Amino acid sequence: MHFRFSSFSDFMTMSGHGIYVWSAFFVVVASIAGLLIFSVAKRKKIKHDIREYYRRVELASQNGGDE
Amino acid sequence: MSLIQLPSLRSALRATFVRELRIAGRNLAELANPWIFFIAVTLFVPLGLSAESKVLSVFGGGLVWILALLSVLLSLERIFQRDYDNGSLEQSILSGQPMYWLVSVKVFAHWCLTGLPLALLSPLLATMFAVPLKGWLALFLSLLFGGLAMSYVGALGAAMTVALRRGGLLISLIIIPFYLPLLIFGSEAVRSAQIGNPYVPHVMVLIAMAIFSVLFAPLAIGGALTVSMRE
Amino acid sequence: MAWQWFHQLGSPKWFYDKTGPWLPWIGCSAILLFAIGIVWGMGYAPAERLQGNSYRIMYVHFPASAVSLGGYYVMAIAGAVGLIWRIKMGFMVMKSAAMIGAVMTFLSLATGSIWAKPTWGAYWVWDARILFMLILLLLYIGIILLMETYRNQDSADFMVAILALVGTVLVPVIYKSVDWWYSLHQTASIKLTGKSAIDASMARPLIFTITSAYVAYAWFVIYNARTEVLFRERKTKWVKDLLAKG
Repeated sequence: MHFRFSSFSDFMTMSGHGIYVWSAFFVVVASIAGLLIFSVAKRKKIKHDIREYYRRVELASQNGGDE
Repeated sequence: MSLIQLPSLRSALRATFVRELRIAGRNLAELANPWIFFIAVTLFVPLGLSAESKVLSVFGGGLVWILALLSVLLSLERIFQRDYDNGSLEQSILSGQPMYWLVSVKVFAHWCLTGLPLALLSPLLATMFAVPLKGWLALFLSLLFGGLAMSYVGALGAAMTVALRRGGLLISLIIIPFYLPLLIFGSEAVRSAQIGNPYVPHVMVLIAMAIFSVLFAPLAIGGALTVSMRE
Repeated sequence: MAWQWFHQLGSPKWFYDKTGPWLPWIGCSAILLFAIGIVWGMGYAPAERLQGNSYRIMYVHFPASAVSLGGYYVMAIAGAVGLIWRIKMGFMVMKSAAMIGAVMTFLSLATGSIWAKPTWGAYWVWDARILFMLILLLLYIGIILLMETYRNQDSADFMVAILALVGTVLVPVIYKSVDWWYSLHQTASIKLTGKSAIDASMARPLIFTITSAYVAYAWFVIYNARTEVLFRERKTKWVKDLLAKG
């Protein structure tokens, strides 16, 4: 098994089809990265929202207690 | 406490069916919408595609099928909407009669008012799209049985979205993938008949699809309607 | 004993606790497998006789297609589990699977379209596979829209599960119909599934990338299902304590 391309620039251009091969590759990488960012952000937001919810519940019960 | 005597299933179903037709009769404008649409949209074809008979006859059958599908899709939103809005859907669910049969009769009535008339109108459109005489029977039969499947599968989409506002577009999105096999075999039936090949096997497939939907769709439809009531 | 495991999996808290430690391993495996497959496939596999080097797109295209189709069944089975055994966890997994499945289907279409240009001369050719993937994308989108439009969580779960199940029955019918149509109307020049025999030296890196796709899929489904668990169980003590800690 050996590296099939004569040089790095040949690897980049894939003997003419480079733009297709690499755009397909980057579309995939970009989409998965986007999905990752979306998933992480969503989790962060949910955790934040839940913490906020409990914080307000705490505050409400404290104020309620005062009265 | 006395047991409530339920009316017989048969009379309940007959009553449901008659009711559907009566309501349809009272709202002729609404009823005729799919039929008029079916005919009116033919105007798009000569202007948008081609006015030449030779060109049209190549895919005329498929074109009629597409227009039929669109017309039925248009009519789906209303299958359950009125009943949902005025509470009679809830009454049906509570009536004690099996949902499966009530649903099936209701959808069958829908077919009588859409698929069936469209199949009957098909010779008219076949003429407009230069479909040769050889293809007319195939067109009629395929639309007849395909229409039955269209109503039953489409009703499932309608049942899933009845509780949502603006469910109309969502119905189309959900149902179109399921309509594709019908379109494939329907248009192929006409194409085969046009060139003199046997088309009955294609119609047979459509009949099988129709039987399958008539048997099983009401199960899912009943479930979806019950859930929709909770909304 | 097996049933006990199955029912335990249905408890959201159990699922959350158990799958947490798994995620880093799954994630790293996916990345590793992908890296191996891509480097091997892009650089070391031989050029194809007819297509030259453009065939290398298959190293991302096939995985996306495989996962999108397989993922549909994951989604439907999860929905069935929720529907039949009333295990809420099933619905949470189904929801996750819908989103990732849709993205994978989109990728299959995008990479397929890019591949079509050098191979057949146009970005969009109505070949059976592309058509079928588009249908699948519409099914996924319909499910996601249905999920988002219902305000009541239980109604949404139920409806989407029904739709996914109906789809499961009909997807093979749709596939067969489209396939049959193409067998009648296919032009000789465009041999769609003419993937003839893929040479073994080309197929080996493909195994890596396909596997990496499934593993990545699993990672995303588990990760997003865990987020869904937190959300749905937000009013329970264990979530409260968990979030209070860190």
